[in-house]
Amino acid sequence: MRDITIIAAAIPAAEVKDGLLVVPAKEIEGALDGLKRLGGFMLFDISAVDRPTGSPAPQPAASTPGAAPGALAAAASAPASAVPGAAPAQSSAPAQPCFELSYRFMDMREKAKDVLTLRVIIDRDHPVVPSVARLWPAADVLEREVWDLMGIEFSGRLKQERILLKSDFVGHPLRKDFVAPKRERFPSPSWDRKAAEGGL
Amino acid sequence: MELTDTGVGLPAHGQSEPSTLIKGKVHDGIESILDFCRGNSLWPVTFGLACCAIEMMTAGSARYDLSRFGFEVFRPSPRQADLMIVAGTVTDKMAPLLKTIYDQMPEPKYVLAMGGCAVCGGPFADSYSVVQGVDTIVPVDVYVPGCPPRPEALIDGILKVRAMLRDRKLKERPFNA
Amino acid sequence: MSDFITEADGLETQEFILNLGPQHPSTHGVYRARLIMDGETVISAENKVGYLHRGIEKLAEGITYAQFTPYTTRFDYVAGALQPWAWCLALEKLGNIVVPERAEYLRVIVGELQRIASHLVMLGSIVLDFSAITPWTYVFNAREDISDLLEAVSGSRLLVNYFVNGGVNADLPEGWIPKVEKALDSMLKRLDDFDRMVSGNEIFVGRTKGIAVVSAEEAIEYGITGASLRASGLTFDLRKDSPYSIYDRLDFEVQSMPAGDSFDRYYVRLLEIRESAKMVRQALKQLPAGDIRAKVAKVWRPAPGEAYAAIEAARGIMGYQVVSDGTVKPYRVHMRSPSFCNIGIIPAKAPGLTLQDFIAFIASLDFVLGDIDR
Repeated sequence: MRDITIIAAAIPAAEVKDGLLVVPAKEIEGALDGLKRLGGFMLFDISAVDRPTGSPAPQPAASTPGAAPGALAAAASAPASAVPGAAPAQSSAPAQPCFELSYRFMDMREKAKDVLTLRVIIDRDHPVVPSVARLWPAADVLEREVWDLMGIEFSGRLKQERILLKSDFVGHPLRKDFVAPKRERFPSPSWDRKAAEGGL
Repeated sequence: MELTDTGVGLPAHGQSEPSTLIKGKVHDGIESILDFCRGNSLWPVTFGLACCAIEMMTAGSARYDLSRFGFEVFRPSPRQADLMIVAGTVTDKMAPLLKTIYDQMPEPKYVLAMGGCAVCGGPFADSYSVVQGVDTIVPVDVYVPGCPPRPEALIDGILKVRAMLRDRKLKERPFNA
Repeated sequence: MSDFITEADGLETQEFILNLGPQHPSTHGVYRARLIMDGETVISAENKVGYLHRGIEKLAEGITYAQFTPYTTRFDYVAGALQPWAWCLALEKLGNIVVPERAEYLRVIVGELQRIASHLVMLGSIVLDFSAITPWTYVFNAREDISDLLEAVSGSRLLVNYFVNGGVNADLPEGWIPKVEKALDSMLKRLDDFDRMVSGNEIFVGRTKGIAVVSAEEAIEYGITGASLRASGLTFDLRKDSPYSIYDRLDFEVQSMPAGDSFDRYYVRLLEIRESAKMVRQALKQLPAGDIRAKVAKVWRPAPGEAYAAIEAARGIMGYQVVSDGTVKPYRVHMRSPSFCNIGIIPAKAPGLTLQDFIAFIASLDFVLGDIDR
């Protein structure tokens, strides 16, 4: 894979932390556009983690030596802090409820492949990020899955409907506060039949 | 099958003691012959849901050879089949479709629940989207446990359907949706 | 002829909606395509999935790491043994566990045998979609021999739970290795028969050559991985490009085909079976003695953190993201399944195909519904 610090330098407001590229939520569109312009990447996974009690301070991040070239830009945007719980503010500010959204890429240009992860921390109360399905067609199904199961909305999509669950399902099951609807254990017609026949 | 309705000329049900006896005997005799034939040529509907479907395919392949018993005619259309092998996990999204397929099958029809998921939800019973056993949707005649059951177990299950047909245990079906 | 009818008699055709699936013999599971058709030609296609969504990522949060391992085989049930590999790899990254050398070899042997079995199912089912039943019995017979081998090591024919956190479950049973050699020999012979029967068949070639061509650029854009990507002329394979386990010690070629049509997607899998057989033989030759499992506590509590591991499964990149909060249960498990991304190309490539070619196209993508819906 190409060196992550070089990639970070080419992307606006990106910062290298614990081997991940971290970008603020409002810069996500620009960051993915930047990666596209760098070329040779394959988007192959989008995943989200629900953190109702806030993102834990990543231990290895504290020991990451040196500052990445992109860190300056990120630090400049950090005081604005429109995004609660954004990566640069983690150490000092109290943890806020958030989602960690990860975009994973494979570098197709280099012979040795590794996973490049782009991490975004988004507000849990207002989980909206711009869709990148037009730039990256692979994101189409992946974004639909994240919305279906985790409830993160991707704005600007042509179609936002459930993909895995049935359309009248209520809630987003992978959220930590999701409670599954109670299911009756044995409303079984064949059991009734057996009872009628005298068995059981 | 009501023979009285077919114009055979037998007196209607419940008229007098001897005629009901004749009717019952003839009816039972014909039915048992039909059941014997049905039991030897059950046509399953091609209805694979999950992992167990692969074992169902294997049961039809050369080594296990389901056709020894006359059960190999897997029909793509439920309207031509009389045995539904529910092979795999039934989810909430699939449940109404499964019911539709069951309803499309002509009478008489039999259901075999194959594998832990179809029997009771199996390892996924606690999930928010999995039906806890296909018998909550359609009546099941034979349960084949296992995760997944071996092809031999499936063949044994279908043979159980045949045995029940021969013993006339499936004659009355109170639940008929 | 058709010109004569439509032009002269003014016969109009009409578009209609065709629901292919979820109960359909050619969709290989509960996949449903909502097709808008004009006669026999597909105007547009839409994927409808989720009929097998079992909510497994949520279930994982309620059980321990060790309890979740057997669940992983239930997704891609055609290639059951390969699935826990990615999961165990993520756990081993999370807990810094070093897997013994012998266990790594055993993993490669069992994993490659499973890949052969999985590709055999694909070959059998694509010809079954052309109503050719005889070749199907050939490959299923060959697969049976491999199922027997997997059963001997793990106890299960289909859902092979052989991989555990830190190594493998059990050592090889006695007399297993000669059986492998024998099974591979007979499998390759049957595969050659199959190849001669199918690959030159006029009907098969006519329906697959030049149908649904996916270029390398498109394949990368849509996130297609695995053999379907390698059929577009790329030699992307994690076993070679980012070697995990002991793949860097094996001598093998990444198979690829240039055209990217349905035929190449079929044929590249046939080539991969031969390559995998070679790898199994090499690994058996190199197999060292030693432990088969690292010491892992029964009640395993990894340190809080996060790990991501990806392997080249039978259908493409299988990835697991595991987030730990220091307890015995995972905080979050995310699966990246290859089939889910691979079907993203279907709506883009379906327009213009006839219905028969569409069936061959989706069969050539070789998806498994358990892998799509999880």
